[in-house]
Amino acid sequence: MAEEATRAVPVVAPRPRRGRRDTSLLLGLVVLAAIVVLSAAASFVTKHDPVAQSLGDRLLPPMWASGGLARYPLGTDGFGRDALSRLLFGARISIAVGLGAVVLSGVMGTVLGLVAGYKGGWFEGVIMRLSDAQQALPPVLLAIIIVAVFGANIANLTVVLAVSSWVIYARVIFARTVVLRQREFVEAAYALGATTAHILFRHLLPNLWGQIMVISALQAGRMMLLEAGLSFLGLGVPAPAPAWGSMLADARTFVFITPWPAAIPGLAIVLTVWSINLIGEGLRQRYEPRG
Amino acid sequence: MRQFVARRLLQAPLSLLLVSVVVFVILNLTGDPVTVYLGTDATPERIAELRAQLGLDQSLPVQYVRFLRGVVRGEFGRSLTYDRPALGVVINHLGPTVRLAAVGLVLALVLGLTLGTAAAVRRGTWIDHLVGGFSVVGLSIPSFWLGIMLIVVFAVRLHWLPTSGMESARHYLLPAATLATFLAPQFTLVVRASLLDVIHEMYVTTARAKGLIEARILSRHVFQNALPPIIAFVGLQLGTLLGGAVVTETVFAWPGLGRLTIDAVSQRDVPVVEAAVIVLALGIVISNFAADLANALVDPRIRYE
Repeated sequence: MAEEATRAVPVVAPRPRRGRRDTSLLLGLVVLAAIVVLSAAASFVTKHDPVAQSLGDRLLPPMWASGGLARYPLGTDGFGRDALSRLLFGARISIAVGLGAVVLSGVMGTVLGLVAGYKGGWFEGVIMRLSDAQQALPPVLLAIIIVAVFGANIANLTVVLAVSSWVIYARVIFARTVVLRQREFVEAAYALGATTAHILFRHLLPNLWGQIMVISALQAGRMMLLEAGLSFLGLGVPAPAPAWGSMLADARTFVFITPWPAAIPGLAIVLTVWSINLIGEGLRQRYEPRG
Repeated sequence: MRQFVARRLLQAPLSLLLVSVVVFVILNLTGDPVTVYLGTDATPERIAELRAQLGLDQSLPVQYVRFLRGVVRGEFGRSLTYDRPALGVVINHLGPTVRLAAVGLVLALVLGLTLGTAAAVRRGTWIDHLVGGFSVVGLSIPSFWLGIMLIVVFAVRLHWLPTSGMESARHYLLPAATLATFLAPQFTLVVRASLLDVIHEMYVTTARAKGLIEARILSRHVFQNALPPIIAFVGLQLGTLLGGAVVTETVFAWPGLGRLTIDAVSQRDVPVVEAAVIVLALGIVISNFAADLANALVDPRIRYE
C-alpha cells in the first residue's frame, strides 16, 4: 500500500537535447563498441596465440611500414609475439579491470554518500574526514603500496582501483542528497512510513542516476589509465598475460631500435580512453546543460 | 575569517593521522620486512636481533604508537637500503620532484588559462570546439606513453634533447611537457566551465550595459568571480600532479621522490615508504589549506560559509 503510494518519480529528468553533443556521445559509443566486439572476437580476428614466441620474427614493424609482413598486421614485440593478438586479448583485461573498478567504486561511493547525506550526524563526519584523508594520498601511490603488499592479480587490481576512487562518488552524491533530502517527495514518503532503505534506494537513488552515469564514464577512462600505469610500473597483471601497460613497459627497452612496439599499445590506450571520455563528455552535456 | 582558518587548521592534522594509520596498517599486514631484507639464509639470531632493533617484536598497537611518536618528532627510523635516517633520504629526493612539479604546474596553468579563456569567450565557435576536442584527447593520453614517445621523437630521432638527467634547463623540457599535457586539459575544461558560469550573471550584463570595454569586463567582473572554483581545483589536483610525477620520473630516470618511493616499496624499505608518504601527504594538506585560504581572501562569501 505504502509501496504503491511512494513509488519513485525522477524529479531531475534528463533534458532531451539533440545536436552536436549527441554526435560525440554517438561517436564514443561506436568506437568503444568496435573495440569491445573486436576483443571479444579476438580468436576469430587473429590466429596467433598472444603468448606464443617466434624468436625469428622479433621486433617486426606493422605491415604498412617497410619490412612489415602481412602475417603480423601490427608487427611483433621483442619476443616475436604478434602485437595485434596481444592488443586484442589485452583489451579484455584492461576493460574488465576498468569496468569492475568503476562498478565497485560506484557502489561503494554511492551508498556511503547516500547514507551520509540522508542520515548526517557522526556517519557524515566519518565519511567526510575519510575522504579528506584520502585526498592527501595520491591514488597512484595508494595503489602502488597496496599492490606491492597484496600482490598483483586481476581481482586485487580491481579492488585497489576502486578503493582509490570511491571518494568522488561519495562527495558528489552526498552534496546532491543533502539538497534532495529537503524536497517534498522525500518528506511525503517519510510521512507515509517508508523505511530509510526504501527512501534511499527508491526515492533518492533514481534522481541521482544522471550524476552517477556522468562520473562513471569519466572515471572509467581514469581507471584504465591508472591500470595501464600500474602495469607499466610492473605492478599490473603478471607476465606473460598481455596487458597494454606491460606491453609498453616491455617495449621501452627497444625504443632506440624501433618505436612501433611502444607506439601501438599506447595508441590503443588513447583510442579506448578517448572513446570513453567522449561518452562521458556527451553524458555531462546532457545532464548538466550549463557550460 | 579566524573561525574559518581555525576549522581548517583542525581538520588538517586529522587527515594526516588517518593517512598514517592507513599506511602503517597496510605496510604491516605483510608482516615482516626483515626476511625480505636479510634473505632466506639469515640465521634466526640475526633475524631476531633486527626485529628487536626495529621494534617488530611488539604488538601492532604498541608499534603504531611508537611509529606515531616518531612521526611527530620527524624520526621514521633508518632506511634499510641507504642505512641513513629515512626522513633525510626522503628530503634529499624532494627537491628534484618539487622543481619538476612546479615547472609542469606553471606550464599547465598557462596553457589551461589561455585555452580555457579562449574557449569560453568564443563559446560555440570553431575555437571552442577545437579546444574541447584537444582537451578530451589530452585527457586520454597516458603520461608514461607520451613521455616515451617524446623521447623517441626529440631524443632518439632528432637528437635535440636529452633522455634523462637534470643538469640543465633543457633536461626539464620533456618531463615537464609530459606532466603539463596530463594536467592542462583538466585545467582548460575547469577554466572554461567556471568562466561560463559567471559570464551570464546579471552584473556582467550590467557592466556591458555601462559600456565597459570587454577586456575590463573580463578581468574585473568575470575573472575575479570565476577564480574560486579554479583555485580550489588546482589545490585538489596537487595529489594528481605528484602521482603523475611518480610515473613521469620513472620514464625519465628523474632522481626524485616518486622513483625513490617505488624502489622503496619493491625493496620493502618500510621506513622510507612511510616517510615519503607522510611527507607527500603533508605537502598536499598544506597546499589544499593554502588554496582554501587564497579562496577565502579572494571571495568574502566563502569566509562566512
